[in-house]
Amino acid sequence: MINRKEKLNMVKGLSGTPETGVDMTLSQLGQAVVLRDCKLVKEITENLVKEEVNHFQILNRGLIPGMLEVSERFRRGEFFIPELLMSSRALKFGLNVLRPLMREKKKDVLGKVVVGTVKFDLHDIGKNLVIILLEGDGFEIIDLGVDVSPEKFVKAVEKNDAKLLAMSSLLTSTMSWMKFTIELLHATGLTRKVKTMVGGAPVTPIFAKNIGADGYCREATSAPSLARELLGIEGDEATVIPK
Amino acid sequence: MEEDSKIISQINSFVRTTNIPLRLLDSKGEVLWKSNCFKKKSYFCNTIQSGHFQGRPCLKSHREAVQESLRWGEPIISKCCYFIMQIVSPVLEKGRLVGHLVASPFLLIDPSELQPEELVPLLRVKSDRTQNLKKALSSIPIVKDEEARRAAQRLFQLADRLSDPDLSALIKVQEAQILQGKIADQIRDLKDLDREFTRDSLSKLFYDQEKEIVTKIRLGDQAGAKEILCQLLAIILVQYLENFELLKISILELLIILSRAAVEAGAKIEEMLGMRYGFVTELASIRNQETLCLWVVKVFEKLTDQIYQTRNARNYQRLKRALDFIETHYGEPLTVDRVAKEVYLSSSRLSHIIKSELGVTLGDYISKVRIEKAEALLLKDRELSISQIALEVGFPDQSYFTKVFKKIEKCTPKIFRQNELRSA
Repeated sequence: MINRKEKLNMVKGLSGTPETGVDMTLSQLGQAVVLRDCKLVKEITENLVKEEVNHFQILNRGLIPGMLEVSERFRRGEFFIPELLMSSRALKFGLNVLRPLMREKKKDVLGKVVVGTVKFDLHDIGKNLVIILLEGDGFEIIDLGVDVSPEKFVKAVEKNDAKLLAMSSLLTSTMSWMKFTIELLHATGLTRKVKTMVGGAPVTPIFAKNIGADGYCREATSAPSLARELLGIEGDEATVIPK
Repeated sequence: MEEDSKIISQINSFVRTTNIPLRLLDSKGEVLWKSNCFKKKSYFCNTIQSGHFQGRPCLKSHREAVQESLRWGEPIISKCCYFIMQIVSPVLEKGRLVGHLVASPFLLIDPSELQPEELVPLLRVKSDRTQNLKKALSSIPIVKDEEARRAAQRLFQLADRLSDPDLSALIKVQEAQILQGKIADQIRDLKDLDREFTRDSLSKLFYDQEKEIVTKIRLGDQAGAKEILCQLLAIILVQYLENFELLKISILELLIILSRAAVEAGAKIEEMLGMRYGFVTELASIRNQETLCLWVVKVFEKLTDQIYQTRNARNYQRLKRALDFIETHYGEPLTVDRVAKEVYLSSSRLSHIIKSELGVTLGDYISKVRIEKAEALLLKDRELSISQIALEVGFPDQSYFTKVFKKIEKCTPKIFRQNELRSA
């Protein structure tokens, strides 16, 4: 049996591991997600909460970078579905610790966001990370899952009176469905009420601009700041497409 | 009948080697064949189904997995209920879905590692059942990450045998998906390289990669060339994704370049002309981007196969060594003798092989490589003078360089640089 510390040392890859303090603990948290060790994830998250580290920091600098590393390894063919599922499970244990804290803060909800992966596309890692981060930042999420048609997107926006629509696509062959969805929003006159943001590996700023999306999300971690920017809520700097 | 017994023995061998119970279901979800363990009433899945659990969640999760499998063209590993796992593969008849194989239940972790909160929903059944359930849980095989992956491959092979004629329709889907994934990755890398995506920077990148792929084709590096082909497709897609007609035109342009490179590398020109004619008619019938990309790769493979078929196999190895050597040593003074020595051939034998395989003399070939490298330098670094470049690529002086350059490009290096930079 190898002990926890040795196990942590075995995992390299999360760049620039700091030596001490909260930073180190946060990066260890990410590594625990990569290791798929849910007990360890739970333990570290609880410790961080005890030390009164902001829950958004725990997400943004611990759990999420860990999961991003996992998806990167998946992309490189080092991890497969089983590893991915076990890492998601570990991530969930961390989220369960944080959820009560997020609820507390939720009293002043920033707005409703409809999120989904476009039609014919079944990728959901990135989308789910965006959801976790937006939720962590205080948005209310309506998750439509994967393979979502333009009609379904538009219906959900209308029904929930959402302020923001976030679409993800991981294939060049499905990207056009973002365009179709925005066109449908225009046709139904909803574009005045709702802003749109798009993201995913093959999605480029040019494409986002061409299809008339309000925002282009470069990586999952920049989703909250972009969402705030688009809705005119004070927050950090973000990437907004110049009009 | 004999065929049936063969299949049954394969099914049994799957269960024996993977330890995972197996079921074969038809398109309506009726079980056609199942492992013995499902016949026991106390078996985990039966306990779950007879307990306080609503509906038939298993059927739903099977069906979802089958749909996903058809979409990706590969076996699907997913959760079937709670933390219990399944592997699903479709069975096809003439390309149509007629049923599916389900390998389940199995666990990815030891049940003792399950955290209390994960067991809560399961234990919501009446307390007298809790013990039974725990016992039933311990009978589920534990299959670690890697074994699960291997089991998925075996299940796919089994489904292939059960299908009529096979799963080739699904494998085609898989190929297309893998290619789409690769292209998406390339676009992602492009985004890391250049945030702006200006038309200029993209066309420059395209030009560079085009040179690179021509070199790789010439050297017989089919795998390396294919890699670059994906990059080229990514650059094209970034620009023309929304305009299918323009997309087709750029693809056609790319194919012409590739076929020209194939001819230079030794493919028969008559064959190439025939193929080029084929491109145009085939291209016209393609209606979507996914098919288009897959078709390009297939055409590319046909092209490169042409070259390597034409090249004599034994000579080819030596030729490749010689070409590799030139590719890395073009900056040095190269003579036929030097290259011949490097590949353990006499000068006359090497000259003969080069002439017969590539249709040019060794000297001409070296000049061509040098001029190509010089062109890249001319455009890459404006600060470099013509004489510096001449020396860099292995010419003894500027005047000889200019003379050779003019012969190949029909203009001087200076004018070439001016023209190219102006048009970019």
